[in-house]
Amino acid sequence: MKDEKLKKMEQEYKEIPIPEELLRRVEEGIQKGKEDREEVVRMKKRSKVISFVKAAGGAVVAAMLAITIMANSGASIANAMMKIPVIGAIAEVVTFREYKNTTEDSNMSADVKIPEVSVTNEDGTVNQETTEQINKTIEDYTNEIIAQYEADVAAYGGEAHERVELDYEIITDSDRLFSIRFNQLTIMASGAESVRIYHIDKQTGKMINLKGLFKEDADFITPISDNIKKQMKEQMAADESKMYFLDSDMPETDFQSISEDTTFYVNDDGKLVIVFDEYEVAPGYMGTVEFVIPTEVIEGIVQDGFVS
Amino acid sequence: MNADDLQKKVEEQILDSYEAMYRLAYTYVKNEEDALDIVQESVYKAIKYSGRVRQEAYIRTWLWRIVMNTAVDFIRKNSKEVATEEMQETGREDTYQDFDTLEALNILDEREKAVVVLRFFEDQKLEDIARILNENTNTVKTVLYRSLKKLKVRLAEGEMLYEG
Repeated sequence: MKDEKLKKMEQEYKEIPIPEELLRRVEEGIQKGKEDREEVVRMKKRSKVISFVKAAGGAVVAAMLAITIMANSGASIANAMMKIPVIGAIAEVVTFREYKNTTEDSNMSADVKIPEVSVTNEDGTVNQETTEQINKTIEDYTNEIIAQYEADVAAYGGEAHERVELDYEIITDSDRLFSIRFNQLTIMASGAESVRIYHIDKQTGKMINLKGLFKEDADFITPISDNIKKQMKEQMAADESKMYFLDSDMPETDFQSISEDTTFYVNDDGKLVIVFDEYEVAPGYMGTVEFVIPTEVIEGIVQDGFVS
Repeated sequence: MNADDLQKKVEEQILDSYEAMYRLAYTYVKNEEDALDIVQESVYKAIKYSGRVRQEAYIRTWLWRIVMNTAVDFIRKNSKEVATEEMQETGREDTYQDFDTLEALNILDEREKAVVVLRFFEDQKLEDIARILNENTNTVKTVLYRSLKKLKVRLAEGEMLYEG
């Protein structure tokens, strides 16, 4: 039983007269919205082949998981050694398991490769803590993908079309850094996966987020965010197939700034790369988008050894 | 889901709930003409930016959010004019001091108004309201308590928060 006052208010609310004109105005809004949206559709058709594949197959999600290890152990001497290149620990993929499944009608299939990483200290002993942590991280991530796939099979059976693929590559193996990147491809009717990149700072043996790359109390959010906005504008000006959520008349859905937990990795050139999930800062047809941050943008605030 | 499908879904949802969108807008501006403008503007934005909806399940909460933001923007932009009009009509104000009517909502701020309308008149779940307002569920609960206190409505906790 609702309160009497509330009931009366609700009744009055429900009795707010609906003007005859309303439907016409709604249709007008829809029409106008479609007209202004047209451009995006045209752009999509002009853009690269991959967009066509995406449109045909539903959502294509390229997600990835990169696990980064600082290839130097021994936190206590870390600061002193920061600028000295040291051949330290060795991290390598020693084996992998594979999860394969295809439904009877072949409409749904999954192929998930699950590597196992071994981290060895400079003296040849196994770094138990980091080895366990990295493998646990990979396992949690791959289990999540498999569980989602199995849940979809259970929920939709032969009704849905879904293909899930996960493989990996070692993208960086320098003196200081070992990075393993996971490429996840999911093709299905709806839904999007999030991009996941986990990082482990081997010097401390602890997981780090973007903040962990920077000096204490340094404001890295503003310079990186500003640089990304600048890049978005430049890209949109140079290539009309590019579109980002920026400077629209709905600012609450625009890209405002990154956060301490924004996804990132360090690429082959030693540059920081910021990664956004599908739909996060751009329309779905743009897929996952990445921005390489010039090192001078974060010079002075980034800790030594992470970027170059 | 691709952009075309999303746009279709958004359109379907609009056609399904435009009367409710109008009522929410009306609650804010209390006149037909402005409420119509707000709905049209909201619908326009929703279709124009339909590519930004991340999940089909969120389309409805997303529409509420657009209507609310558009209405609040509208009021901000027109606050000067509204204030002038009110001053001219001071003689009539007392007629609306009855707390059993919708006019009672006027003592609430914009966010409180949305919470009360969405929770009690539109039967939205607390977690959906939280998503609309970009707040966590506890904050919404707090706002709800405060609003009902202002409205001098007393309910047992259970029915207030979880009924319907």
